Amino acid sequence: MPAKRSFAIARSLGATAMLGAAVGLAGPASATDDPAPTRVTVAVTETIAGHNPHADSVSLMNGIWCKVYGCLVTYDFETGTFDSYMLESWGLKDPDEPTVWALEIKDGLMRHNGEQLVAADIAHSIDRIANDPNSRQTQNVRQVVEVRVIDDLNLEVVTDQPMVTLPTYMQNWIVTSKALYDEYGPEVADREHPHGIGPYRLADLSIGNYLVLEKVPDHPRAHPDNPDEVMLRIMPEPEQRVTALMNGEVQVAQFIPPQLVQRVDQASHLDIAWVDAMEIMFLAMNPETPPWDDVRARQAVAHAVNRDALVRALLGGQATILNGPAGPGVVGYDPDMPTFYEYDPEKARSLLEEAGLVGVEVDYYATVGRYIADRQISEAIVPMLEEVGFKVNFNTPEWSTLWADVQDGGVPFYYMGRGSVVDPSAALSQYFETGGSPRIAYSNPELDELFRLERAEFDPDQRNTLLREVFTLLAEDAPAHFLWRHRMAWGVSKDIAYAPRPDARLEAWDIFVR
Amino acid sequence: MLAYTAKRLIGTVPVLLLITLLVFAMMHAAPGDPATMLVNEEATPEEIAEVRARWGLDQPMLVQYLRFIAAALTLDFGESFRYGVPVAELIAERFPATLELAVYATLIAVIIAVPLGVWAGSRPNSWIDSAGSFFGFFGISMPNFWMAIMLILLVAGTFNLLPSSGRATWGIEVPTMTGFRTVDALIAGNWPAFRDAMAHLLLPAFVLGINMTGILMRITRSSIMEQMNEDYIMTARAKGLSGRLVLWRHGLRNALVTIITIVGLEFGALLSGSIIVETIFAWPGIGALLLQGLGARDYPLITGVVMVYTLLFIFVNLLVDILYASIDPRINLDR
Repeated sequence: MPAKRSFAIARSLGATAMLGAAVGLAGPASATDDPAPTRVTVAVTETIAGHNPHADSVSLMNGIWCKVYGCLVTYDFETGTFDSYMLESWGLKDPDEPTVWALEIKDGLMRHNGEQLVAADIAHSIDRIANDPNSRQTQNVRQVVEVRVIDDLNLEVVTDQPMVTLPTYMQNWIVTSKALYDEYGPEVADREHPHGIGPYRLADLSIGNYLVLEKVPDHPRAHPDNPDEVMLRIMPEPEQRVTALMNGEVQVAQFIPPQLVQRVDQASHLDIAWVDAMEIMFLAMNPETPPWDDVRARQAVAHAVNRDALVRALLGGQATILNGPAGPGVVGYDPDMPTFYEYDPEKARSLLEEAGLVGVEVDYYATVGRYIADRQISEAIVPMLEEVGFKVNFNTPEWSTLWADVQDGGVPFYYMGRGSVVDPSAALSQYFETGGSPRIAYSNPELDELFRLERAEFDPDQRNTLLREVFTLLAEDAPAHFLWRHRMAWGVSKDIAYAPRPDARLEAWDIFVR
Repeated sequence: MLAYTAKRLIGTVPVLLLITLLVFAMMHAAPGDPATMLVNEEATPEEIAEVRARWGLDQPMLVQYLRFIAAALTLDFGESFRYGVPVAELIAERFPATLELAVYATLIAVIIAVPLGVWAGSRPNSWIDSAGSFFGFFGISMPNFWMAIMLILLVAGTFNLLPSSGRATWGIEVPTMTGFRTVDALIAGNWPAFRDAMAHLLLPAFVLGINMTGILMRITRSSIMEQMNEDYIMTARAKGLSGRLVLWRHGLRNALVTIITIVGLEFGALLSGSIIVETIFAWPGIGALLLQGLGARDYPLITGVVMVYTLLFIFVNLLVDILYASIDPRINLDR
């Protein structure tokens, strides 16, 4: 493939030319007189698991594969609804049969190789998500018990229980070709025939390194101002991402940490794009381990932590404090809910005194480098807790160790985040419904019943009411103290327009060359 | 020589067995569960257990080890937990990048350190010696992660002279023959690709080699000082040979055994340093791969990469031993 002019690297080329004169080295690419394809390079932190679109479990890559292969629906944060370029319609087949969903594919959708998308492809993909040995997305089809292909354009999906949240999962159902799979097998089909119906096709992929997408000419979902090529490069180090952004090697850089925001902001050719992440940060308290079996101890934690001070001092103000588990943009969120916990160390201490727990020893665990300023935040939380009467043993194991222990229910008190909370049902159920997971091991029959009801409620208003009851109960009983959602900073070249999504999915069609 | 080489190669087998056993034991003794790293955060305990069974992680450590060894005998190092592809394939794809980086780092170190050390050693206590010693200590004492970030900020950032990361610009392609992009570009006569590869290589290679440069400079200096006081040097001078000839042909040649030994030993340190340097510069080698594997508790990947590092280290030291014999005729490897 001939060398191509990278978009917006004129600065880089000029400066590199200076070096070329000095030491005989050229810049990353050479310019030509012909109109060259526009390329936007995005520096990302997440890894690229491979050619198998079901082997990635991160939102970023779900967005990428969705643009290549196509996915059933996408969530529009502006309207709060799901949209689809693949489906003509989706919904319950019959309100009296709330476990059967009818899906109709738009007619005439063609893969990049000219093959038509058919219902059997969706059935095949659901099966592959569930059973492929390398699939990391089994949770997205866990409730699907049967898929019935009616004809080329229609199918029915049967769930094990009424499940209003199915579209939330459907946005991660990447639809691959059954015909190509049958002809070549999974490995060859994924590597050599990654033909989808999306506006971009996969041009190149190096595992754990980079990925390149090329725009499909005249695709109905591709805007003329979308870049001709989108490249993802893995750059785990923040300094590296920012430097590459500053010198034009990349045009978008994911996750600029607070200490580097000013540097990017002051560069005349760059902007910072802020977005409220959908990840909720919380302090989890396992009620099976004393003193967290006493609600007063849990509530004392909630009153002891000065979230305003932490956000102001350690996060540069870039976080939205949560009042309960839901924030703006989350299904069921109510801005008028009463404030559950003010910072009140006196009240925290009196709660501990009332419970006879002053001086109680607790083991507190936090991540290091997993979330923004996680260690610093936890180091500041420890004295806040000690001030009201806890004696805190602070632990910072490496992530793999901590995560394995949390999954096993072996960590009584920890600082952590839960990502992609748009519809909160699955996330909250996983942490707080009886048997959801051992991570907190909380159990409350009243809450269990509310979860059961909200999942089966297809009327949005009624469901919102139920969800707000869930939020209130969780806030009051405090098996976790919900802290904030980070505001994530992305560095963006002024030559392009890009608004990052709250769920961290990278949608190539959201990138525009100015 | 052949008998010696064969003996040394056979000797690597127990070394590899022992090292893989140690790596296996340490990985299993360390806290953390690969299965939890393989699933989405929404996974249930049952799904985690399924994954554990699928990858054989529910088996005793010894069983897992024996399975690994049995497969490794056929050059099958298993499938990466994290990437779902054969480890051998991942290593084969990434290893040339690590080797190219290590070779250039060594070249940079040798090209800078040996002349500097020779000059410094031949003029003890002169300004050249002081400057050389300063450079030597600087190289030894600078942590490479700090140096990497500083150079990224200054050279790639402030002065915008070189790319900050990666191995090549996507779209500039050269046919792969040796796996070394610089060499492949030269073979293909593709100068833009050669310049691009060199531009990407310079910073990480310099950072990786800086520590070796410092050590090598100090060792060369002291070896030269020692040699220059030997009787044969006095004899050479008495015969009327020029000072330059005495220094470079006789002094340096006799100092080379020590220098080559240090290059061989430091190559090992350089390989471990490549883990950090590759990560910081997003260099697609096996060092960065190893770090990704460690974070994911990807046992097959970790073991495979450690085996490659071990083999490479053994090979380089074998090469050093063979070089001894060609430099110093008194050394007979077959004895």
